Parts: sequence; structure tokens; C-alpha cells
Amino acid sequence: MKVLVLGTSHAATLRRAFPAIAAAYPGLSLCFWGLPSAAFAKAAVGADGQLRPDPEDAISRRKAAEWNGQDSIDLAPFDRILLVGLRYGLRPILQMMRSLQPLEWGRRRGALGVSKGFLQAAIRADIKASLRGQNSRTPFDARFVALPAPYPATIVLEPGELYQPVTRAVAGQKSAADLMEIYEAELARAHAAVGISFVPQPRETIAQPWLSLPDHLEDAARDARHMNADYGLIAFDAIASHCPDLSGQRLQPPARPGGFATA
Amino acid sequence: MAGSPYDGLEPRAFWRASVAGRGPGRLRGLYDPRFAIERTTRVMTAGSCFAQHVHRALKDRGYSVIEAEPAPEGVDPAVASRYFYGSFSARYGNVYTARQFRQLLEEAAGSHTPAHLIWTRDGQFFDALRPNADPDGYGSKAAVLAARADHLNAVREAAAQAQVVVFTLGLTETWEDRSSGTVYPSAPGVIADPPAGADIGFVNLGHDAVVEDVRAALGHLRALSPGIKMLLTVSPVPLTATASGAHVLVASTASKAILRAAVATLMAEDDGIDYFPSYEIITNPAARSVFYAANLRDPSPKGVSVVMGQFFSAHEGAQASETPVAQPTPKVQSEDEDNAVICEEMLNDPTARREAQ
Repeated sequence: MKVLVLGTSHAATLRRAFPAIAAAYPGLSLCFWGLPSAAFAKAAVGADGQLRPDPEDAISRRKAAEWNGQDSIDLAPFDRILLVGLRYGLRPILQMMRSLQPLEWGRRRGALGVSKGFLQAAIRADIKASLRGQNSRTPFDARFVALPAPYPATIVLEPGELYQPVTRAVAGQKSAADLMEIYEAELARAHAAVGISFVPQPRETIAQPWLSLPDHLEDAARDARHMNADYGLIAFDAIASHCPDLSGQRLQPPARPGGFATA
Repeated sequence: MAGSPYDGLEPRAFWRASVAGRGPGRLRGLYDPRFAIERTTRVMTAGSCFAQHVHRALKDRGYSVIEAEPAPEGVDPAVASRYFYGSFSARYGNVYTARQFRQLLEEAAGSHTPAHLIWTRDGQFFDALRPNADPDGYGSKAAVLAARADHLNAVREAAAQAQVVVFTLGLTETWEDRSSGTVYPSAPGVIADPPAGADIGFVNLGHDAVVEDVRAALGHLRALSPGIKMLLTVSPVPLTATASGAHVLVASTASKAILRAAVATLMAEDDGIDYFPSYEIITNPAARSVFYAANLRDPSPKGVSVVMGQFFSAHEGAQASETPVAQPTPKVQSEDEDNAVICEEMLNDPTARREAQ
């Protein structure tokens, strides 16, 4: 069974986990193809069925060759395509969540009181637009399953270069868990609407709403978002748990409590 | 033989020259403003769904349109528009009747407490006085009340700033709580349901009632903004449905005639009131209905453009032209491309309501 891990720099997390994934799923033939998020957002499938970076962007073309050994990839041969690392406009969505407050949850200083329905609709529109763009560049079919970029790790709450004030503001709200539930529900809904599966970030890697545990960071001194090989295997297992054709390939269930990581 | 009083009148006094001999959109001299509206004039807009076109056109043209409840930054414009952010000077939704406008201003002034403010549907709670402003309602009664308090603050803010209010009269038919007189823009069961025991029935406002309601509304506005002027229009959008028992065309004609007559009465008595003939521009026989969309109800973009072109030419001294005024209408979530504005009155038609669900 041929599986393509496709996506942004977060796809590299699964690539790091390749030895572990290959050992756990020996029946799978894994292939990886990724680009930095800005370049991936401009990569598109052409008339020849090849996914390639923006031909006008020399840096993207160079990155594609450096990262993947080839500057394009044919999506046709794969039985499964794991679309990894999209953020679905999360930054502006977090800014909306900071500036708007559903009145059902009471008032919040400095935030405009709105209905929960309005906030949901605004989030839905942004996610839909993001997914529509991706669908136009890599036309979706039933082979696709999506796993988002992980939430930043808790170290972004601390002063320093990695500090993220908007994430901190939203994660610090009393309703942070409700907001994340709305966001992920809208992600699932949007993916279902285009006929593909959505796998949320495995719960066991989340420290608190909107924040990942720092345990799996690849380089906590420099980067609060990119994860290591351990996370890669957990993430792959999470995807597999949503896809019987993948989970059936595992030699034995994951050793973690509860077996497959699930949302 | 002595000359007739009609001799020597300007061409616009004669039907053949000024209507029958002109093509759609080529009528001239329909509107001589009583007062100037400049780009710096602070304008408050309210009214039926047609007023959304007026609001957008003024805003897009660079007029100082008041928005006390603007679209929140970063929100998709179509979503904001669907929830009536930035559609009028405050998020009152469509104010179809003069009674509704008067009641809103009285509530904002603290002299009216609406009865049965909160209606329900599927466990959600709706502001019965603007039920379509949050089409999914709120999760609690407290949230409805908090939102209403914010909204009334915005209404006061908008009115206090305004130098001109543009109000589009839409309907005479409305729904009233028998015991308190509170009117609602939507009938029970269309968007939500009133509480058990509420006695809400149909009322069709007559000429005198409309005149009195506009007088009272303007009185409240003048209390907040002395010297404010009022520009009235009559919506060219016919009724979707009537509860009067008459044929909908007959009922619609009666409704528009009453509104138009009320405007004439008001203009005769108050120099601070003017009328802009959007109704005539869309419905006149020379237009041959070309300014309506396929449903023969919604004005087409071209129709709106011609209407606003006449408005701008009158206030800016430019010749009205057939060139459409730019209409960067945000797309709304409705699948019906005919509906460029949000108009819950169309939900009075059960067929339309089923299609919207």
C-alpha cells in the first residue's frame, strides 16, 4: 500500500519518525513530499497531474528539490495521501477569538460581545476559504486525510523570542477549551463537506487548550511549533486510527495507554 | 384664447416628454433635494431591506455613513453582512415599518419597554425585535438581553451623531402584541416563536398611523440631534406575502400607496423632511420592470445603480448617467443570487422558508 505524506514543514515530523513508522507498519510504502508553508500554499497540481511549486518562485523550486530530491510529485500512484501541517488561517482566527466574546459566556473586558453563532460563522468562513484554496491546488478525493499543524508548545507563553501574545490571550481565556472545541468542530465539518477525513491533534500531546506539551519539540530553544520523531509516530498512529486500511497494517497496537492515539 | 396653466411648464411636467419618451433609467428631474447631503454630512440609515442598498452605495461613494456597529475587523465581509454588521447605522436589522422605527427610538430613549422581547426556536433564544440579525439566536436569555443593551447604546450613539437620517419605508403590515402595542418585524413562527400566552396579531397600519409614527420617530431623533433632517424613501420591493386577506399584488399596492401618501403629508408639514423617489425610479412604466430581478421583486443591481445614480447626481450636481454606479456588493451566504441583501420578509412565504432551511 503506497502512502504519501504531503504537506508543510510539519510533514518533516513524520519523516523523522520514518524508521519507527516503517517498523510498526511494515506493509506500507511511505513517501514524503513537503515544502515550507508559504511555498506549499502556492504549490499546485498541474494539467500533467504533477504537484509542483510555483514555477515563478525560484526559492520554492529550490526548496522542493532540497527537501524532496525532486521538484514535483505525481499524486496518482498513492493509495493514501496524508495532508499534514496546514494551519487553516489559525492566526487570524485566534485574533478574532481574542477580540470577540460570545455573550453566552459573559462579557470579557476589551472584547466585542457577539453571539456564539456569529463567532462560529466567522470561523467557519475562514476555514472554508482556506480549505477551498487547498482543494483547488491539490484536488481532494477519498484518499486524502488531513492532520493539522500542532498547536504551539507552552513555551510560547513565556517572555522571549518565541512569545506569542495572541495565543497566550486566547489560551488564557476561561472559555479557551470551548473555543478550541468550536474550532476543531468547524475543521471536521469543513473537511467532511469536501469529502475527506480530518484527524485532530492527538489529545495526549496537548498540554492545555491551544497549546502543545513541550515534550515533543524538536528544538525547544529555537522553535515552539515543530515536533520530533516521537510526535511523528503518535501523529501517524492518530491518522491510522481514523483509517482502517492503515491501522490494519500495524504489527501490534501502539504501546501507549489506550492503543491508538485518538482525539 | 387665453393660455392654459400648463402652457410653458418645464418638460418634466408632461408624461409624454418626461416618461413615455424616455427609456429605462433615463428619467430626469425626479428629485430636487430640499437639503444638501454632502460627503461630510453624517448620515444615519435605517429601513426595510432596500435600505441596505442605500447604505452600501453611500458608503462606497465615500459618504459619511454612520456605523455604530461596524463589521468587526478580520471577519469575512459576507458573514458580517449576514449578521447585519455594517448593513445599517446600527444592527437593528430590517426596520420595515415606521412603527418599528418609532418603537426602537422610544426604547433607546428609555420610554418604551418592549413586551415579549425574547422568542425561542430549537432551544435558542432570539431578539424578537431583530430576529434575523442573529439567525441562529443566542444560547441564553441573558445573552439576548446583553446584546440588546449594547445595541440600544449603538442606536443612541448613531442618532446623536446624525445630521440626516435616511429612512426607507417598506411595509404597512406588521405583527403586534395586543396588550402592549409592541410590534415585531417577523410574524410568530417565521423565525422563532413567542412565549406561550402572548397575544400577537396582525395589524395593517393606515396613513394616519404611519404619519404619526414618522412624526414621533423624528421627534425622538431631534431630541438626540437637534436640527437633524429626514430623507424618506419608499421601498420598491413588493410584499412577499400578505396576511391581509387580499391578493398580494393588491395588498402590496395598497401598502406602497399608503406609505407614499404618508410621505406627501409629512413633506407638506415639515421642511425638515424630504423624499427621494427610489420607488418611482424602479417601478415607473418606462422602466418596464427591467429594474427587477427575475423574481419580479428584488431590484436588480442595475436598478439599484440607476436609483443611486439619480441620488448622487442630485447631490453632487453631476448629470445622471446610465453608467452603473459601482456596487461592490458583498456576497451573502444565500444561494439565491437574486438576493443581494438580507431580507427576512421573504421568509413569510412558506416555500421560501423551506428553501432557506
